[in-house]
Amino acid sequence: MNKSTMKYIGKRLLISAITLVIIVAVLFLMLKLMPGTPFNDEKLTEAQKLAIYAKYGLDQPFFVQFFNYMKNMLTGDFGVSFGIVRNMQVSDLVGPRILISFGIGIAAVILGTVIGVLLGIYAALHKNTLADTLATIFSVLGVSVPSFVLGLLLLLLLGVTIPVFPILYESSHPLRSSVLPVIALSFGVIANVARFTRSEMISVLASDYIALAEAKGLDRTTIIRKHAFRNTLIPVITILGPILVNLMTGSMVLEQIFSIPGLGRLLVEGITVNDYNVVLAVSFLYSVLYVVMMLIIDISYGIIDPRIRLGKGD
Amino acid sequence: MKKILSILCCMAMAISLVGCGGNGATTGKTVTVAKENDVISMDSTYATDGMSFEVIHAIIDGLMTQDSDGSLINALAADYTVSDDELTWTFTLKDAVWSNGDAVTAHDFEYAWKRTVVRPEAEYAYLYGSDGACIAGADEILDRVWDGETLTEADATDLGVKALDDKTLEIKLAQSVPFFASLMTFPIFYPVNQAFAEELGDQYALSPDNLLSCGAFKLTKWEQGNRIELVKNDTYYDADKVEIDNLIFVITKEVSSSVAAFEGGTVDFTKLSSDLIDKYKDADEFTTVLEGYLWYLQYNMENQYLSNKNLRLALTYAVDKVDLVENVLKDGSLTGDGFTPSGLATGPTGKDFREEAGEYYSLDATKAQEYFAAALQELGLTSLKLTLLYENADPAKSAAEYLQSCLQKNLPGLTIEMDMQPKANRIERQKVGEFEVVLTRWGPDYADPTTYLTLMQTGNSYNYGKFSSAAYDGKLAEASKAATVEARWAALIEAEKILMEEVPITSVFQVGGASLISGDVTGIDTHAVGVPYIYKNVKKN
Repeated sequence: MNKSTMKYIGKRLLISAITLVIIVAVLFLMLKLMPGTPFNDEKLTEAQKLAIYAKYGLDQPFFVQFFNYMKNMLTGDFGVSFGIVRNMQVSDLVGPRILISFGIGIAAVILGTVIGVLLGIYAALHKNTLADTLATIFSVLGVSVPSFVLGLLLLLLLGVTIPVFPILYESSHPLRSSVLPVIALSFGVIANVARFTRSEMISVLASDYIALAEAKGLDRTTIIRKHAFRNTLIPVITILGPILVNLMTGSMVLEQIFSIPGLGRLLVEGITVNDYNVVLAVSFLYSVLYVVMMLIIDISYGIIDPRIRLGKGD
Repeated sequence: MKKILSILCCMAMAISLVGCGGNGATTGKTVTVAKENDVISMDSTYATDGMSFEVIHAIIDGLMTQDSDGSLINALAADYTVSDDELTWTFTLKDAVWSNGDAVTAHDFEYAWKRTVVRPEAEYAYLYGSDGACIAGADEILDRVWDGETLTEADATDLGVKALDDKTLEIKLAQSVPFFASLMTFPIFYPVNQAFAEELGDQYALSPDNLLSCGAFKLTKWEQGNRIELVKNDTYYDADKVEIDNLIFVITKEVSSSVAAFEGGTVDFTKLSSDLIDKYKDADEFTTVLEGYLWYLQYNMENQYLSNKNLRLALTYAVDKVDLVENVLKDGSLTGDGFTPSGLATGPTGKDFREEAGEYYSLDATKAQEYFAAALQELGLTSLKLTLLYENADPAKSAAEYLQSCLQKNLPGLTIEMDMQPKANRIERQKVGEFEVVLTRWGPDYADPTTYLTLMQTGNSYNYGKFSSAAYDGKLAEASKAATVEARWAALIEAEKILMEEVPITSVFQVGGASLISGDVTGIDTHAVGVPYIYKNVKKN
């Protein structure tokens, strides 16, 4: 890695850090502008409310609160929850859920990618046949049918009618409990990846170097495996980044249906009860994931293709 | 392709077998209850919601509790005496132990109460003061805490609670509180083991290991947002009466999922959402429970139109409460017959307050139109437009929509404009008096009609409609000074009568909950006040 690459990465890291601070500031401001407070009980008197605000430091001016929050955050203290579990450290609340949401999200992306790529290649190789049409129909359905519809369908079929999998998430059986949500989530991935793979494969197969390989007398399997497949995969990998982050952060609706204690539900519940610290921590986690993903993509582009490192002197 | 499919099938089968009969297995009789909300606090000092109350009550006993029929019975209290001036209550305790082997003593109560009264974030601490138990010294301490002073338990020496010895708890009140014993069923008055709580500090009650039990069950697992597991507490003083070995709560916001789990046999009890009631209402497993919340229309008495009594009477007679509960809500809700719900309080005769006080108002379109015509004439109007404020969640939403059509149908010339708001906004608008008619609710704090009736007193901070009646205030004062419980009860009934005749509110319905319960499970006791569900008497065949 040369000096200019290091400098490029350093600059990117700095921008990412600044982005995150700005995100927290905006989130903080938006939460303060939300109607209501975490202490909404009708039976609370004004004096009592003020005493509670003082207890949790919510009576301080905006900038003091923001500064304190940032200061504590850097030491790993995300504050306590007000309305999800009163006085519980937010990190204790979010921690167990990260594993669950990440696990299900990553599993869905892997499953969806493997099936999607196979399906796409199969459709491309049998272009304009019945199998191709069926694969296309499947892809369109996969993109347009919301995952929760599929989730409910799977739940009815494999949870109620043929009770193979648990209907409600059981933490003592995380593997069994995750099967149906993973399948439901992977459908969108399969559809996206298959569509993308098919069109890429078709264009790759029509390119000159494949014609050259054919002319050289290579057999079809070798051409597809060694030449077409690899070149098809590169663009597919670029769409996986956003999909991965999207699924790792937990699908609120699927979590609701399968009652998975994941991040998506926590965020929504946090918003409904104005649990500032929980909302901040989960949104911050989302932001970090996105920023890191963008950083990885940027840097990898930069390494692969030096032309992307714009700016003089680099 | 076939190969892939067969591999996937094999994987699915393998995964479905993993963990069958594994570590999640429980032994003995297990009852599983589906709940929409998780526990917010297991610390009796901070808990304010029904679900927290239920689980706290399952593991910790208070001085008193409610029997299956709602009657007040001793829990940790072996007995109690009340002084002649009714200002000193002396409780003696049963022999009971915490799950770490410590004895439950009167000091645990003294500590818990002092701990609660000095903490600003103990939202229900006001129940210690003149809005509840009237414990001597409580108001003064609460005022200091709410003024921003930082106090500790040691600063609460003036609170009228004292452990005379390990087994005797003496409580001094600032004024006589006839329903004091019933307040003792509320978790905020439950004991806390001082040594244990102080050792854990701010981690107390945040996990099963950080909690002690002295109730029917012990908490063994609390996976936030997913599952709560309790096992029978063998050292419970009344363990012989507890028939089930495991009590499990599964938390799911999606009622259709919990109903599917009920159908699949993994859940024994679940609530039904209104869209599922029609499907199940004739099933053997269908049951309804009555909650304490009373929904009513509150009129802004400072409004130029609604200050007219004939108009309020017209609106009240035009409401078809029976149609609303039977054909719209269909969840076991009762018609609102007064300003005190059914099943809240039992009088000296042993009868429910509602039963003795009777039913006020039912649909009478003719009378409604007569009063409406009179009102319009007095106001110099030919037609009238009123705005109904309500919140965006059921049952308020469906009830408000019904009320709009019902009032407009029965009172030609009246237009009801709908103003739907989130709950927090609805309350805020009420507080500042920015409403004409509001569909609002109140939940009881204790088992006595005054938990409702005092709301309408002149100057009460929850009297959002600014109703004021000297006769009504006088009757309530008479009740509070009454020499006998019978006289007090009679005065309360008369007070409600004055209120209903003045119509500052129209009582609409008392919330019911439609549920499904397995045929082999009985004894899930439900109560309109205090702890909503009590599981001590649950049986499973």
